[in-house]
Amino acid sequence: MSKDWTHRLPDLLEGYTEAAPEGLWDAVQAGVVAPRKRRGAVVWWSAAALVAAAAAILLLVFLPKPAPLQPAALPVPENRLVQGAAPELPTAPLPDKPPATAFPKAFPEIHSEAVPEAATDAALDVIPEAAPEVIPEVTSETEGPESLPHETEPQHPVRPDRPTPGANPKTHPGAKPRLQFTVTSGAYLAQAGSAVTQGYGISANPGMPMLSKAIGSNPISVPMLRRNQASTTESRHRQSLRLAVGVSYNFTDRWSVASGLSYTVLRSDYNTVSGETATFSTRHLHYLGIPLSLQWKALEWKRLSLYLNAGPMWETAVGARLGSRSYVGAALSSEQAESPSVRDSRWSLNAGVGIQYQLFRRGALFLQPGLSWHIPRADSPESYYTVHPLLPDFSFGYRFTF
Amino acid sequence: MRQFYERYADYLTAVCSRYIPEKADAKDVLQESFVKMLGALDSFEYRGEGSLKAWSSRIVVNTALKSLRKSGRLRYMEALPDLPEESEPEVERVPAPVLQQFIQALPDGYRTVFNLFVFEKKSHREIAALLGIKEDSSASQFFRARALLARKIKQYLKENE
Repeated sequence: MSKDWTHRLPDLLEGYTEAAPEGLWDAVQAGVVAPRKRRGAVVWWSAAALVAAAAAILLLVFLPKPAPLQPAALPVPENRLVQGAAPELPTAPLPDKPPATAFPKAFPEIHSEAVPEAATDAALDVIPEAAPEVIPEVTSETEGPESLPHETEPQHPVRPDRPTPGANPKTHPGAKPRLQFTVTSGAYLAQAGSAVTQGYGISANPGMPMLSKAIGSNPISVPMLRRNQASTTESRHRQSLRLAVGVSYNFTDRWSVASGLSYTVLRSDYNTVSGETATFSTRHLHYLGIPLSLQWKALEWKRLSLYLNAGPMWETAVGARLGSRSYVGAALSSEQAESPSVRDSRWSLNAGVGIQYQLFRRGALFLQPGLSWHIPRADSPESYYTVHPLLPDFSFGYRFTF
Repeated sequence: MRQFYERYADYLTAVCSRYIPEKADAKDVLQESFVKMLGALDSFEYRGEGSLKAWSSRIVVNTALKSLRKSGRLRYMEALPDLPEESEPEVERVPAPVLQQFIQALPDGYRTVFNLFVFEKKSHREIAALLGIKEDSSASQFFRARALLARKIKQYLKENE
C-alpha cells in the first residue's frame, strides 16, 4: 500500500477551516498573560491597591478622633439651656487624661446612692475615674427626677459605660450626616444620629471583601442615676469598614478555596445625658481576621461566573481608640482620647452568593452579598458583632486567583 | 492581537479539532494556545505569511498533545496487529470537511500518530519520543489508522457515487 495518498492530505486540508468556538476570544482575553503593558498594569494596580489598603489601615488605627460635635444641638431641656455666653467651666474639672486602662468587658451598672461624695461636682455631672469600682450593682430606674424629654424605656438589660467622660461615647439625635473618613483608597460615609446608620468603605485593595456595608442600629436608652440625677445613655454600634487582601486557589474547575487577611473597624457611639451635662464618645475597635472559605462555581458564562461560598473567619482585636467630649449646656467642658487595651478573639461563619468577572488571567472582580453569624462570646466587649450576631454582609473587591 | 486572532482562529480551530474533536476540550486548548501566542507575539520573528501560520499551528499542536497526555487518553497506545492492506483510495474526491470528520473519528491513539506523521511530518522516532511510546508502536498505530481511513473513504465514495 502506497503512502502517497496520505501525503496528499495536507494539501487537501490546507485551506480547510472551522468556525472558532463561541466565546473563544473573550476567554482568550481573560486569560491573556502576554502584553507586557497589561502585565505591568496588573502589577501596578496590585501594588497601588496594597499601598492604599496599608495607608487606610494605618489611618484608621492611628488617627481616629472623636468627631466634632455641635453643642447647639444638645438635647437639653429648654428651661436648662444656657442663654448668651457659655457658662463658666467647673472649678474642679475632669482629670486631665486618665491613664490608659483595659477596656471593660462589661459596663458597670450604676446606682445613684452609691456615688461617692468625691465624685460629685456642682457644675459637672461626671463621676471621676475611681467611682465605678465601688458602686454596687442595682436595678435601673426608668425615670428620674431630672429625666429628659426624649428618654425612653430600656430595651435591653444595659450596662452603661463607665461613667467617666473618657469612656462614655457619643452620638445624639439631630446630628447631621457628615463625611467621616476619606482615604486615597476610598471613602467612608457615616450617618450619625439617625435610627439607621450606614457605613460604606470602598477600596482598590486587592482582596476578598473590599467594601462592607452594614445597616443597623442599636439605640439603647438607659436611665441611670448619677449624683441624684437621672442619666440616659444611648449607644449605637456599627460595622464601619472592612478591607482585605486575599487569594483563592482553584483545585478543580468548579471548586476553590480562598483565604487572606481582613481588617475591620467596629464603631460604637455613646451618648450620655444627665441634666445639663452631655457626654458624647466614640469607640473604635480594630480587628484583624483570617477568613477561610470554600467556593463552588455554579454557573459560568464567558468571563462571568456565579458562585456560592461558605466558611469560617477568625478575628482578633488588635487595638481600640476611645474619644469623648463633654458639654455643659452649649459649652465644651472636656475632651479626651485614649487607647485602651482590648482582648477579644472571635469566630464567625460566613456564607454568600457572588458574581465574579475575570478581569485578568490571575485576577477577578467580585460582588458578593451574604450573611455572617458571629459566634457569641460572653466575655466580648459590646460591639456591632455582639448586638447583631447575624448580619447581612455585602462586599466587592479584587481577588487574585490561581 | 484581535487582527491576528481573526485571521487565524478558524484555521487553528481546524488544526486543533483534528487532534481533539470534543468541542469543549478543543476550546480550552485553543484558549491556552492563543494566550501563549499573544504572549510571545512580540518576540516572534516574522519571515513571511507561512512562518506565522506554521508557528501558530505548532503551538496549537503542542498544546493539544500536552492536553492529551494530561488526560491520559494516550495511555493505551501499545503495538497492535496491522489491519489488512487497503488499496489507495481516491482521496481527492472526498470533500475536506468529510476528510476532517473521518480523521476526527479515529481512535485517540491512531489519530494522534496519524496527524503527527502526516500533517506535522514527524518521523516515527520523533513521534515515539513525543508521546512516550515505542517506535514500533507509532508505526503500527499509523498503519492501522491509515487502513481505517482508507476503508472509510472507500465506503463514502461507494455510498456517494
